[in-house]
Amino acid sequence: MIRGFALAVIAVVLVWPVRALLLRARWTELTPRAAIVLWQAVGLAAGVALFGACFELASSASPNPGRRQNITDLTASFAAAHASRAVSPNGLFGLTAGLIIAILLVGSLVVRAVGLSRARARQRMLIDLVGTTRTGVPGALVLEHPQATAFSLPGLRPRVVVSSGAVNALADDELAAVLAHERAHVRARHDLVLFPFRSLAWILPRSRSLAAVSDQVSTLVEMAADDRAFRECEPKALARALCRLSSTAVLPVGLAATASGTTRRVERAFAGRQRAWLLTCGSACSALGVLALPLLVLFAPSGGR
Amino acid sequence: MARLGQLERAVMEALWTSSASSQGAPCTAREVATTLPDHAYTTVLTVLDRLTRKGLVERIRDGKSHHYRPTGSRESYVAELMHEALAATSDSEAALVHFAKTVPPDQARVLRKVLRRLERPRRGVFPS
Repeated sequence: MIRGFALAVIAVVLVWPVRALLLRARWTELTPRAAIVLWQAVGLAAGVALFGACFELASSASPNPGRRQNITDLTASFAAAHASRAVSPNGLFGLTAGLIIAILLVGSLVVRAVGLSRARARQRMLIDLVGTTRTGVPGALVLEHPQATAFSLPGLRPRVVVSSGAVNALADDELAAVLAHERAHVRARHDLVLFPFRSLAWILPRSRSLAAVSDQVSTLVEMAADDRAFRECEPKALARALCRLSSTAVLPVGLAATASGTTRRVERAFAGRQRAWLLTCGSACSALGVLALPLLVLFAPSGGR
Repeated sequence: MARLGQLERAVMEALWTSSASSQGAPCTAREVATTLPDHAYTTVLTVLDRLTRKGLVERIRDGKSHHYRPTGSRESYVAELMHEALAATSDSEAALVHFAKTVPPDQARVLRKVLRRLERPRRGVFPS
């Protein structure tokens, strides 16, 4: 019971104060990759703590307590107890809540993964059909369209795409910077990094905090790709490309919230490449700690508890 | 694999050209094959079948023969891709990772100012 309570506290602390602190932190921009890992650790740890709390609640009220059980044993013993009408409401609540959340979560993730891969397959097909290769635009396909944009289609057979409007608007070094940035996304499989965060925000569209976290991680992913691109291009060229591409295009509705990320990326690129070893190490250690905490509580030998 | 992709493109090009010159009237596989002299009629037929299954081409039965028509124009597909790349609020956004998010007008003004500042030293180094 104490174990379950501790896990619930960990989940609440991670979901509320830790999330709020990380959202407000500006140091994350100095070491975006480590910050992304920290976000992943926080999300995973919160999930483990939440399910652990449900499981412990069920386990402590189990019809045959005293020994550790896995979820199948537990479900079976509850089913048996339910048949003989000897089940405690607390335990049943913990078990059903945990199971329902888990099933909904996994189910919606699968639905979304299937939807995304279908959308990507169609986009790849269309890109291969209407995109053209051009000298001066290596490794990318060009779409004949006056509006300036660049994007990548991630996956096992990735595509980097620029519009002819972008090719015309950008100088050679700027275009090279854009392509380096997109290649970085594709190589690092940033789509997989974004998938859980965006999916959670998609599953619970009313949650503003999840949307904020998803936006924050998206911005960090862009910054990580910028950092990778800086190895191949002049940071100022990337800054110029960002200014050109984000200020010439037409603004789609409802984007104001995420746009400040672009401005901050320009500032970073303008400042040039920076290294922050201490921050990176600190962030990595915190990630380990955050992840270890609920696991320790969950699997610690139950001496006296 | 890549060659088949090339061939699919060529067949779509032929269909688009013919549908543009005949105001959208469908054409036969034979007509498509004559515009692609390097490829056998049966190959063109196979490609048309593949394209039909992909939903890019519509097959219309006309008596004993089949006629083919592209389901969308090249421009409509470009527009679809551009729309998905730029519409960042829809679900499709997750499928594409794009380079720069568009910013509201006041920030765009700031960015243009930054751009001018970034460009100034360049002009000094490379006088035009």
